[in-house]
Amino acid sequence: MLRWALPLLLLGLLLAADSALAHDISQADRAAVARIEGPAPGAFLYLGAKHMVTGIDHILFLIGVIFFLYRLRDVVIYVTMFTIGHSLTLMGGVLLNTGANAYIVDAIIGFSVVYKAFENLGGFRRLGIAIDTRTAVLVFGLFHGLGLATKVRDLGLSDDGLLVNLISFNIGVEVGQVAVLAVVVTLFNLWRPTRTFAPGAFYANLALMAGGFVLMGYQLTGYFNS
Amino acid sequence: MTDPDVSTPTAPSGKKLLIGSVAALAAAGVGVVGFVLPAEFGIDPLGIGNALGLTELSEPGLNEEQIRGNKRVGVLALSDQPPQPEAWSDRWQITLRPYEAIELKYTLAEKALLDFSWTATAPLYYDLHSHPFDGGDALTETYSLDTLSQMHGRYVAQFTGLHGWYWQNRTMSDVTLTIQAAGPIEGSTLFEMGVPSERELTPPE
Repeated sequence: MLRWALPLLLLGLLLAADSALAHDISQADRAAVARIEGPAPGAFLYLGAKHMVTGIDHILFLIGVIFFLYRLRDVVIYVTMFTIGHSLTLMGGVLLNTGANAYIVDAIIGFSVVYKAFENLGGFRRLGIAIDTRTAVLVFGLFHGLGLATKVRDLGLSDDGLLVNLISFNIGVEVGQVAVLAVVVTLFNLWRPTRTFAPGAFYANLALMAGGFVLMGYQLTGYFNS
Repeated sequence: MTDPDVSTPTAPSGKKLLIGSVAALAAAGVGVVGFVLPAEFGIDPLGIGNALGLTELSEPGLNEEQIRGNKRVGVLALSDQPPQPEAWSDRWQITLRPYEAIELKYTLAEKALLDFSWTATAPLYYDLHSHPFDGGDALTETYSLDTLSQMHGRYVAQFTGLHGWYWQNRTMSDVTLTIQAAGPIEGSTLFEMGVPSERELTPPE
């Protein structure tokens, strides 16, 4: 009984996070941000963290990334690559006022989940394709940052205090990421030594893959519908 | 620095991988087509969304005024052409600057019939609504809310009160609006920025 508790808990987390499928800054937050002029590091730190913690797409990708990372050193390396990637495009995208279509970026983020799950299943090795996993995480980090930048630009930030607010939002994203990772890494460390991990990993990654496909379908429909 | 092994220690066979991936795609397809599309976009090819009440989620929320107005029957009979009354009781014209708004109201008794026709040089956002004298703003009812460049038809007052339109020019250039109305109009009020002012009816000559 107990050995199934952890996978079930992970599944429960996924389902709970599913309510955040429509992954936007909420209307209330948007209205609050519209009133802010000048630097407000506390508010933006919170918004960045909230965006990460309630964002099913980012969470699914992080679960995929650390699924088979046994050593803390590897977790740190991979998460650093991801952080460098999304910080570059988040800061750059907002400061240079460039961005991509939000639906397309979010569809690519959905694809990143599918990609990571397929890689975890050894799919690319079986297909004879060798892709450096760290590079892939960095590249998808760039796309996740582009998505974040689009969301921040949607808030309509005033130029007054933009840099402070943006850096605060970015730090908030990292805080939120660490919060998510702390939970996910702990649960994986508890699940991995059990006998259900090996057979469960296959189905868990298929579930991740399905989740990624759902995100892609949702975002692509949004794109063609808009 | 070597790439750590990040795939399943006991990697599944090719067949298992293929079947699993196809199953994941199929499950996602059912989830998207059956549940996400109906709930998020109102697209419901399988009918699951309707059966579960998901499609309602995709409909834009109605405000209280619209919900009250939707309960009425036979308020508004729209037509493609302006009605042809024997004589117009009022003719009024205004040019709205970008994002300027105006509200024109006629005082009508319950069951009064109003033939009306308005045209604008570009589509205007409008809200056709009424305020009862008995109850006031709290019982406002909206009968039609959209963005159009013309509207013709017959309106039936559901109660004694103020009846008419709010228009807003949501374009970046000036838009001229002309309205004509015929019926037992007892008075007319303009609301600019929410401030009412009485106006005399000005029938066309």
